[in-house]
Amino acid sequence: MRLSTLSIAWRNLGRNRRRTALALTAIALGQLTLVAVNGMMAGMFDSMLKTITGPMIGHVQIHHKDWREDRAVDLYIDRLPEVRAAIESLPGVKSVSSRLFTAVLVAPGEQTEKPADAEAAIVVGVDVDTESHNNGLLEILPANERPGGRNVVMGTVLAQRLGVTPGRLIAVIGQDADEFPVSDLFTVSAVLKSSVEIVERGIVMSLPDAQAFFTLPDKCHEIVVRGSDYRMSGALADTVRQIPSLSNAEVLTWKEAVPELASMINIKGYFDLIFVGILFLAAAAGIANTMMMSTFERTREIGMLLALGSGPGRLVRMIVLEATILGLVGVAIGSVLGTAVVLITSHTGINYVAIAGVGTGEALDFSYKGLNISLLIYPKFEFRHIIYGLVAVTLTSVLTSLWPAVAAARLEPAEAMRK
Amino acid sequence: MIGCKKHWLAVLSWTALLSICPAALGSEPLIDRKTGTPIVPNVLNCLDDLFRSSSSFAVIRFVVTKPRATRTLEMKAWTRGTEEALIVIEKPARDAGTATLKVGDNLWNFLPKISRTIRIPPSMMLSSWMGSDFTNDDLVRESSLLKDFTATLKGRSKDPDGWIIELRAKEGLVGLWEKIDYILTPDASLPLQAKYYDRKGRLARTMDFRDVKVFDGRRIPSHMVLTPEDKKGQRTEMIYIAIDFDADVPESTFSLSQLERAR
Repeated sequence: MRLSTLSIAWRNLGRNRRRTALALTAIALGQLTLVAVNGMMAGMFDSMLKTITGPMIGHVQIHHKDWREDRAVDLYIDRLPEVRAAIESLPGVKSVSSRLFTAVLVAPGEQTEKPADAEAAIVVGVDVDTESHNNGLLEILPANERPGGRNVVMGTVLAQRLGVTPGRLIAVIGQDADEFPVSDLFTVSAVLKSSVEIVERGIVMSLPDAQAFFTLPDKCHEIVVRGSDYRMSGALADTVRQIPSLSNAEVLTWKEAVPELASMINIKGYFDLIFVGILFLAAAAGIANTMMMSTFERTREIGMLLALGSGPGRLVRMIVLEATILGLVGVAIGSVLGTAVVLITSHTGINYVAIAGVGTGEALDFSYKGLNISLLIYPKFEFRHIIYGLVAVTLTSVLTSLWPAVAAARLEPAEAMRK
Repeated sequence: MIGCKKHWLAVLSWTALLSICPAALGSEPLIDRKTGTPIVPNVLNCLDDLFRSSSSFAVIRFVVTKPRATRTLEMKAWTRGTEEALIVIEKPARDAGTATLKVGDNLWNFLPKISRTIRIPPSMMLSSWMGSDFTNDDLVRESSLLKDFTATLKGRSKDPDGWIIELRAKEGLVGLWEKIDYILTPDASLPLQAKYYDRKGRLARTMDFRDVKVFDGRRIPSHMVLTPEDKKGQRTEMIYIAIDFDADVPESTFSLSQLERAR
C-alpha cells in the first residue's frame, strides 16, 4: 500500500471536520463506556470474589459429613494435627486454616450491681497465625491485638449490642462437646469489622483457647485450604479427598460451598460481552453513516480519481482506511478517557448505593450467605477491555466501510464526473 | 373415690408435668361413677393444680445421659407459687454453686466459676438447661392445660395400662406443643406417660413417670424420664430424693443477691 493512500485518507477525514468529530465522539463514547463499565464490573466482581474465596470460604473446605446440615458441636474433625500435616504436605497448598464454631452466651464481664443481659453469639476458634496473613479473617488486625492467651476479638455488631470496648472483660457461657455448660472470662483485645457475618456478630478466639474452653482437644469443625489460584480449587479438592483420614469428611470447593455466589461470578462474562456488543453497534452506525455520506458526497471526485487512472482497489483501500483511521482515533480517545475514569475512581471508589439509590441507610454492603459484600466499588483497570473495543471497532470499520467503498470503485468515471 | 387437692406443689413448671393428684383430699371426682370413665375437666383441673402451690423445698437428682457421657447432678430447689423458683446445684464439684433463679418470665444463671450472674435472653429460651433435655423455656413456661388445651378422652391404653387423654392446643395459643397425649393411671389420678408433639405434628419428646412414692403424705411419681426424639442415645432423668411441701420459704429467697449467695 502506498503511503500516499494513507495520507489521502487522513486528509479526506479532515475535509468535513464536523462530521468526523461527530463520528469520533460516538466511537469514543462507546469505548469510554466499555472501558469504564467493564472496569467497574471487574472491580465489583473482584471484590466479591475476594470476599468469597477470601477470609471465610477459601478455595477448599473440609467438614464432618453432617456438619452443613446440623452444625452441632460434636460434628467435628478429629486428630487435627495429623490431618493438618497431611494437607500441608500436598502440592499446591498455600495455607491451611482450621476453625471451631460454638454457640455461646456473652455478657459484659465487669462486676456490676445489676446482672448484665446476655447476647447469643458464635465463637470462632481460629489459627491465629494463618488468619493473620493475606485473606485471613484477622488480616487487618495489628499484631498486638490478635487473639490468644485469653484475649479475644469481638465483631463490631456484637460489641455495639453489648456496649463492650477493647480492653474490657466479657463473660462467655458455652457448652462442651457433650453439651454440658462451661463458662469463663475473657478480655476483648480488639473490636473487628469483618466481611464475614458470624465474625461481625461473634467472637474470635485462638484455636487452643477455644479447644481448651469447650474441651475439644485436637478437634475442629472446619478446615479451609487455600491454593495458589482459586480457579484450581477443583484439582486441589481432589487431592485433599485422597487423604485417608479424611475419607469420612465432606470436601468441597468454594463453588460447591456457595454455588449461588459462584454462578453470580459467572454472569460477569456475559456482561462484558453485552457491552462489547453495544459498542459494536454504536461504532457500526457511526462509521457506516459517516463513510456513506462522505463517499456519495464525493462521487464527482471519485470519478475524477478513476479517470486519472487510480485503480478500483486503491479506491477501496482509501475508503476503508479512512474508516479505520476514524475508528482507531475514536478508540484511542475513548480508551484514554475511559482509563482515566477507571484509574481515578479506583482510588476514590464508587458508592453504588448512592448511584443506584438502593436503600436509604448508610449500609455500604449487603449480606448474602453470611458474607457482607461491599457496595463501595473500586473499579479495576484491565487492558483486555481496551483490546475488546479496539478489535470490535476495527472490525466494524472495515465491514461497514466496505459497501460504500465497493460501490465507489464500481462507478463509471465519465458518469460519475458529470454528477 | 379419688379427689384432687388444691395448692399443689410445682418445684418448677416442669414439675407440672408430674400431673399428680394426691389421695382423697379434694372435692372433684376424677372418675364418673356411672360410666367408669374419667371426667376430663376434673382430671385437667387436677393436673393444672400443680401450678398453684404455696411453697416447697426439694432435693432432686438429675441424670443426664448423652451418647458419650453421663452426668449426675444433685440440686436443691425452692419454690413459691409458680412464679418464683431457685435451683442450686450441689454436685458434682465442677458445677457446685451454679444457680438458676426464676422470677416470672425472667431467668438468671449464676456461674460460680466466674462469679457472674447473667440473664438468659429470650432468644436462648429454647436452649438446654444445664446440658439436660429440659430447656430454659421448660423452667419459665406457664401453661394451663385446662385453659390452653382442648382435651378429649381417647379411651384406654394397653401399654402402659391406663386412660389416654389427648390435649390439643387451642387456636391462637403461642407455645411449642401442638398436641400432648397423656396416659393416666386407671384411676386417672397419676400420669404414666406424656407424649409431646411439635407444631408440625411430629413427636418431639416423651416423658415417662415412674416409681410412685409418698412424700410428705402425698403419692407422686418420683422418677421422671424425658426422652427427646431428635437426639439419639440421649435422655434426662429427674429423681426426687426429698420434698418438703409447704416449706417455709421466705420471699427474700428469690432475689439476685440470694442467687449469688445461695447454698
